[in-house]
Amino acid sequence: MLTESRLLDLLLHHSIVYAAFQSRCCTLHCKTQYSTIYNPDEKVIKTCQKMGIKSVAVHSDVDASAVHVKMADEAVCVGPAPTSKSYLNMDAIMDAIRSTGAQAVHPGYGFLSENKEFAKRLAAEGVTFIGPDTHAIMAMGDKIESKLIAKAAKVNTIPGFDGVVETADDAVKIAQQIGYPVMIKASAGGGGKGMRIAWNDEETREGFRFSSQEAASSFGDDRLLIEKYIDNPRHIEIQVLADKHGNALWLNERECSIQRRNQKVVEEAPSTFLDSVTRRAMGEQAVQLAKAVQYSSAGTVEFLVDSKKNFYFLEMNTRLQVEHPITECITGLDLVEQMIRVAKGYKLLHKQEDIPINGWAIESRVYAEDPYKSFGLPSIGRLSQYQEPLNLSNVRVDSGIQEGSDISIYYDPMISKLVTYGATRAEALSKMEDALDNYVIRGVTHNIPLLREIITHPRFISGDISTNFLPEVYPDGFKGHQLEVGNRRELLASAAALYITAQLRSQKVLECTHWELCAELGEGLYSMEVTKSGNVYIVEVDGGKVEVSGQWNLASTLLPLTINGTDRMLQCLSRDASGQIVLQYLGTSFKVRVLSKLAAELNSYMPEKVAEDTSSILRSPMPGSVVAVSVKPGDTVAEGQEICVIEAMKMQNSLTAAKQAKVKKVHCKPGETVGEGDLLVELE
Amino acid sequence: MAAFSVARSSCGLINGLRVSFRSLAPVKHGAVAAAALQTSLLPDCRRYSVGHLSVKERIDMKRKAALVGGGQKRIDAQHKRGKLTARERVELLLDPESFVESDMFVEHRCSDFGMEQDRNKFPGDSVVTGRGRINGRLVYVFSQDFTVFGGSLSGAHAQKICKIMDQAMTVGAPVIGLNDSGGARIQEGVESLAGYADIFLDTSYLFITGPDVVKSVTNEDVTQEELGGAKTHTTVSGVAHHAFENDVDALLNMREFFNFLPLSNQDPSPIRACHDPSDRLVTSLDTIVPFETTKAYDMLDIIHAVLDERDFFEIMPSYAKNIVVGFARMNGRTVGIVGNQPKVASGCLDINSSVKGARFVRFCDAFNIPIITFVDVPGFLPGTAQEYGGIIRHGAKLLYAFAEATVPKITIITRKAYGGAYDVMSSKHLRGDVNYAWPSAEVAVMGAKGAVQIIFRGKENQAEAEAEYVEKFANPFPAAVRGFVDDIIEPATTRKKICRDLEVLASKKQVNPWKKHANIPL
Repeated sequence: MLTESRLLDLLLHHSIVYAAFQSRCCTLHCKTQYSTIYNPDEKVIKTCQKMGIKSVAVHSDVDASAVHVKMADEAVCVGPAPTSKSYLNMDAIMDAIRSTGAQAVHPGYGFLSENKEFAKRLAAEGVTFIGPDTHAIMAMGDKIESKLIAKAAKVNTIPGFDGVVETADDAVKIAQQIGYPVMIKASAGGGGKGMRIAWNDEETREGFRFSSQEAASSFGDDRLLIEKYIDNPRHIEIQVLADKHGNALWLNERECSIQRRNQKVVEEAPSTFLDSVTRRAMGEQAVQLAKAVQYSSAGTVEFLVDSKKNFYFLEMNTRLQVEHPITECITGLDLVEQMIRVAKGYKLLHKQEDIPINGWAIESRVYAEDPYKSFGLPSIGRLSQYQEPLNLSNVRVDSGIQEGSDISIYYDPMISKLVTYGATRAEALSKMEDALDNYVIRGVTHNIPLLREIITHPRFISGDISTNFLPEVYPDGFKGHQLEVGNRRELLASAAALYITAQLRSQKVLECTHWELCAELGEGLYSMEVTKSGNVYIVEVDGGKVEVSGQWNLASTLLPLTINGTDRMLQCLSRDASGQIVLQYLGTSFKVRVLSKLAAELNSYMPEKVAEDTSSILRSPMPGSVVAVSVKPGDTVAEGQEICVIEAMKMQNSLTAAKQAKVKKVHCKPGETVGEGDLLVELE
Repeated sequence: MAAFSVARSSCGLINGLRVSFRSLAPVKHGAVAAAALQTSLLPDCRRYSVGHLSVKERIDMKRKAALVGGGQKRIDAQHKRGKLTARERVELLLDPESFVESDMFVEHRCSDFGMEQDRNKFPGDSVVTGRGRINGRLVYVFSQDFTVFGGSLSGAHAQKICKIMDQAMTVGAPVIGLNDSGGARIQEGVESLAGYADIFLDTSYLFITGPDVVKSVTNEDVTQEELGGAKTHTTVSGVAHHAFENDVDALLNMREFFNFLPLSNQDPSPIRACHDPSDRLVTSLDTIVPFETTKAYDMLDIIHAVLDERDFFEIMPSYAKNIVVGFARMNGRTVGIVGNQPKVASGCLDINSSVKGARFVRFCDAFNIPIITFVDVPGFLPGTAQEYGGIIRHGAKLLYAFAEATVPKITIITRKAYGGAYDVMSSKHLRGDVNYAWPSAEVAVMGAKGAVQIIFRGKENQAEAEAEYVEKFANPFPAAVRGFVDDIIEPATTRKKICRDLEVLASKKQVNPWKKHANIPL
């Protein structure tokens, strides 16, 4: 290995690494028995360093101080923030390759990683593309062609239309032939973008319009295809690794069924659902497909699996995937290292029987988004405080950001990939709970409340999941952790103890040990009696007694408490003079207002704040840019009618009227950038 | 009044009196109406019955009467309006059981318009006064009682306030005034705690002349809220320094605010145990200033990150938002923060922001509170509105305030420090004790573009000249080589440096030349 890496060093003196998404090019390396923690997402760069290869990072100007840029040996700016002018700007990237003399390119996860044009241009200049050959990218990058090849390679495929859909009318005709529900998706796409499910003709038309627009803006290719939509399936994918000598391996599966809007949220490896027979069958078909296109490098074959363990080929991703770390955890392979080896022409080191399943790995995608809105609408902001749970063992965090980073509207809102590992699934899950509780993110709204609810949900724990998990479990939308009595007591007692600690610090003379307090939580009002003895607060609340102790550092964001003998990690999000305390407890943030008994009594005289009538105004649910405004003042809109379309993080979101009304005033126009909560349209 | 009716119904036995007193107590608030009736029917009864009460009993009755102010009906009305009574406010503001009331027996002495009648006399009159403690620290309080003649200012009322003010002076304690009065003179007559007024959102109004008078004099139609509501005074007029949701919020915040301040100009600010390490590195600051000099960022992000526990009590947060002022702590000690806000009007100085800043700086100087200034200022706002409004005069107030201040002054230039506005913002030239520049600082007469347009007017190669100007001036070196800044520091070290400097500057002594009083350009 040592001689080999030296050799590589000589041959591949430079490797260009460039960023993908918010969370830039990265992988992580994990030995099966323990985790080496790399912070943060610069796995590709880390692996290069390990192998003695110098790296060059390319970046857009807003990412100039990003972590991957700092870590790389050299960095080149390839343009302004919009991806089409930077990370998708091939000319600029080719210039960067020439000016730095790079000999190979690792394309990261998104952007040009599956772009055949880019691979061609690299080949023309004699630069090695760390990934499969152009013909494989071309074959698999096109969903229509890939399906034909899969069929020929005897891989199970989904019934559907194997051609390009030209118009909305075509789409409807084809959909009717296949039978509803159908899935409309971008031929060039991936990652859930440009993808819609339609249950009737009208939705097909709408889906056609959105998908082609999204496909055009995301991939510069608006071709669509339509296929049968398999209801309630699981999404399970097989990692493959192939060399240029006709050898290919399957590195087991990843269960990626927990999704929202067709984007993965929680992944695990292995899957609780597969038996060894199905696993082998899927793995062998995946290898057949890889061999059919003379695939080399790492790739992923995605399957839909129905409740009877029938599986259908979905697509093949010819790049390293975001969720690859969990495969590394259970197999012990460094996929980036393997990709570089293969790119250089080496034979695979392993045989199929060498590939183990050791332990269990879970990955949570931590997003800057509001999980209370459609399981996650993008949010933006500046990470005023940011602390990864790296104090815990068997936890790794791959992120491309650091404290002070801006989450902008230009890229995917991913903050990090949080991976935990355990000898058993239960161990990995419990570690994930701890990791989420210890993760400090301030300044942007994030989806940790949702992640923590998912991984502690009985259905998830029992492995009873499908791609419809979220809408099935939360039919009325995600509402955060629902407190039962015992937990509510714990929360109130913690808030009371924190309140008193802060009060005591300010007090000069009074040495009080008994307090009568009152707390507001949601609609409820709870009176509490608190006694302090030493470092322990004994809180009587809600018909129960809770003992809370802790270190009570009022400057710390984390609040490690012992509540009735159990260790709990809470977080104090804010605390103000009017008694308002926001605590993150069991992943969800709760607002508790703690008042002295007197203040609470007097507070009952205070007038209630009148809530805004939200049915007659339309505010932007997220930051983004206005793509279209469908109404003008004086128009009458029906309930559910589209009013305008906002694009954020490359997703188009149609905003509709909450009631039938006349449009009073329009406050936005196409092309405008709007912030979350900005007034868009007023109805009468 | 209450005493009267009680006495009337219990002439005779002492025992009977006690019993009936107790039984009457729950309905004592109805006494006003009952008493009025009795006065007219039995004119001699009062003298007669009072004569039969012991002094002690009379004292008790007066005290009881004082506690209900204008009676339960008016208290209910006050609550209905979403307001607390004068006593409730005092109770909430002060530490439990710490209130010591004075002048409970004072009654007004007016004899016109039937005011001399007993039913128009209320023990304590329309204000509650006394002293108490906030977190154990002494404070004098007056709280106007709207339930008694609408809280209006009588001679007795004023006398009560003056009395506690005099007492406060002798012991060196502050006075907090809780104003709730229909009387227009009150705003002139009374200074609340060091001049800081609180207004309660939606229930409070403050004006010299009410809407009716305005209508008759200027024919302007205006609502109470528009003329003198919380929003007007915190966003437009700058009369109020903070608005809160309601009485309870305001009073709890007042307690918090009080914790920042010394009891007097002779007293040091309280030191709070600091859980936030004073040498904490704030790495997020290394990336906060954007590369493009025209791009805005939020100065509050810097301020919060540097302070103890991100705890910032902002003053006038809704007025002249292009400057940020407020109180905070560094390593447990109170400091005043002044910062340009690039997010609003590019952080330029205009009339309102200059006056806001100047007032705050003088407040800090008056109470020995060190001032930390964060500078990112592109200059004074140009234009006729500003010039005609006297920006030169008002800008000079801020300059004067900084120059005159003898408290420790630490200045951090985060980005732009252009022209006259640079001088004004606690520069070295105004006796700044420690002046730092971040690597992103640009100390110059003006921005490169504007400068080049003037220097090379009508000439070609402006872009080239602009690049040269940027190279020469858009960095901290020109200021650093001249000693206008003491050091160029890594942003992450800002908190550590400030905390250390404050320790050193704690013993700073600087005396201005003697004068009867300074002559700030008013």
